[in-house]
Amino acid sequence: MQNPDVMNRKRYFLALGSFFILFLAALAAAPMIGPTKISLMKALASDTDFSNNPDANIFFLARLPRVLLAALTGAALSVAGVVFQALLRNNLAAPFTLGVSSGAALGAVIAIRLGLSKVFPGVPAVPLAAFTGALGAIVLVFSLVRTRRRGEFPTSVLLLAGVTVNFFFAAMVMLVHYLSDITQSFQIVRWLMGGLDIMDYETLVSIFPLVFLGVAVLAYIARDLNVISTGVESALSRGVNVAGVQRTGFIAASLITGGVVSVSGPITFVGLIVPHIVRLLVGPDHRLLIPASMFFGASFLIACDTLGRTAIAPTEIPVGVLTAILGGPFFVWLLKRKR
Amino acid sequence: MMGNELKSGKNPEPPNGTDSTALIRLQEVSFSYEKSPVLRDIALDIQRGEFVGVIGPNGAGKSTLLKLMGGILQTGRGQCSFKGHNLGSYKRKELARSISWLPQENSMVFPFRVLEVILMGRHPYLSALTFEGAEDFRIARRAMDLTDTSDFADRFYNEISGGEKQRVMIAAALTQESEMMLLDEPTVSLDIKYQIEILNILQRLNSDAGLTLALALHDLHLASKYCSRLVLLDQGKIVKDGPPHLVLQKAILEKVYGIEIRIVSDPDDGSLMVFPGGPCKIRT
Repeated sequence: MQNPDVMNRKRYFLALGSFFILFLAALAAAPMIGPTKISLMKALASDTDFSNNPDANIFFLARLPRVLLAALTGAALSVAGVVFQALLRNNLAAPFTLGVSSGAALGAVIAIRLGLSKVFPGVPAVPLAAFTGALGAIVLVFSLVRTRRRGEFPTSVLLLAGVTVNFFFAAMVMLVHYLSDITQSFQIVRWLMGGLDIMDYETLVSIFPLVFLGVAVLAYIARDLNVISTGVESALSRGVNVAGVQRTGFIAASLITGGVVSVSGPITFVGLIVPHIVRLLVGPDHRLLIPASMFFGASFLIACDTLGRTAIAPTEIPVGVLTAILGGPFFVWLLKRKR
Repeated sequence: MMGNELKSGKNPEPPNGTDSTALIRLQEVSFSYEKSPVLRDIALDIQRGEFVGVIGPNGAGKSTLLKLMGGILQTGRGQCSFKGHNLGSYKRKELARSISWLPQENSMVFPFRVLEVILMGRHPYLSALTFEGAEDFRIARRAMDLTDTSDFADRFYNEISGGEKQRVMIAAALTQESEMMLLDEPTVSLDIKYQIEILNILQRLNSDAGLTLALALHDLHLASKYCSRLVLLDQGKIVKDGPPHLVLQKAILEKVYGIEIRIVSDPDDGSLMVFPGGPCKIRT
């Protein structure tokens, strides 16, 4: 059956290869762009001492960590979005639908309000509190929902629980915000906008294993996700262990979301839009959709952040603001087009 | 997959002396959603090669019965076994290779193409991180030939007609290469041409390939025309079970449906046509 539109190995690796090249291009180009012109040749030159090489300093210390964090965040949120949409069988689902980001926000805001800086030497308090909050939200949402006889989650109830927990935590965030002084208030607002401005590699190293492992697990259940997205009962009849796949999928997707949100803040719309764009480009098969969304999401957020820090330089537009400003109209267009 | 009788070395013959060739056997099966009972004390044997129609009023428990037989729902009380082994003792993929089930309606959230949907039937044969191979495509192609769905293989499932969708779902179930297929009202919301088309496909699969079929049906005439055996359900109980002419009797149907019934025999094939009797209230 020579059908060009159905998955085969050649088409698969061709498509995935293109997304990978796009990602590499974004990764190489983004650190070159900025207020100070630098040269890649000079930055990579080995005959100059690193401390005496301004090009290398700007490339590796000022810009690359930020670009890498954008990549990691974009990749994790996009893959999580794909998985939430499949498991909840809902086009409008996103990584934050089940309350992960608002849980993280509450954790972060409390840490800021209490003026915590470092828990242990080297471990910053705000991201740790945010990650704890994200975990708390995940545990809360899933404990609110009673599973069916075979152990699967009723997705409509799960959605409602997620939305409720989201509202509850958002109110708590407002309360803590209201009780903060002006400096803390500013910090809170900045955190809630999302930002990728880090200047170190430790942060990256601390979340990379989690994101890598989570994405690998989700790629492993890709075909199960295809079948589950056509209906829970159909999936059961096709031999899918629905309860197991739901648990694995929800936990892995929530954890990678919590991991990146604890560092980057709640960057909206990436996890909603990238799955839609990539689905339009390569179709709904999760075996391709997941890795392609990973590369595309990484590239997309790198591009948004690069635009955000250069468009009105020397002032920066927070990346969370930019993704929503670009993403909102795009999504409306997508919805109107579908009708 | 080993049943208890085999493991303990006892006689594998079923204890109650009924026919041991039963493909699927339900014994004293009851089921309730929350607290409202749906099925009560169901005993049912389906033999290999049968074409069973499950009929009865709305809410009689037809869909639930099929879901229990397909392992989609788990029995509350009682035993549900396939080839002598409890359904619960099968792994999900094992069961999917033996029994396929078709829902009444299937809506896709995402734009899968027809061929992709059909290939999903191969899921129980594939391990993680694999693509469908030549063998899977061969089986899918054969299923598409049998259901006449090849022409729209690369169209989007959501954009084809209701009759085409139903054929595609049958093709997908066929690629599961199961011995038994359970269908929940496969003709609902189809016009008569499509209804006949679907039932003809099923009849061919039953007579040529020996596929065992159990389907929920509302149209009693079609049930009597195609099925070799009818199971009449009412309020969660089997009221009558047997060949169509024994089940479709005026007195039985009037009691179950609560209306006057007229039964006419089709002069061409002897199938029974069931009409609501009594005068039409608007015209008198």
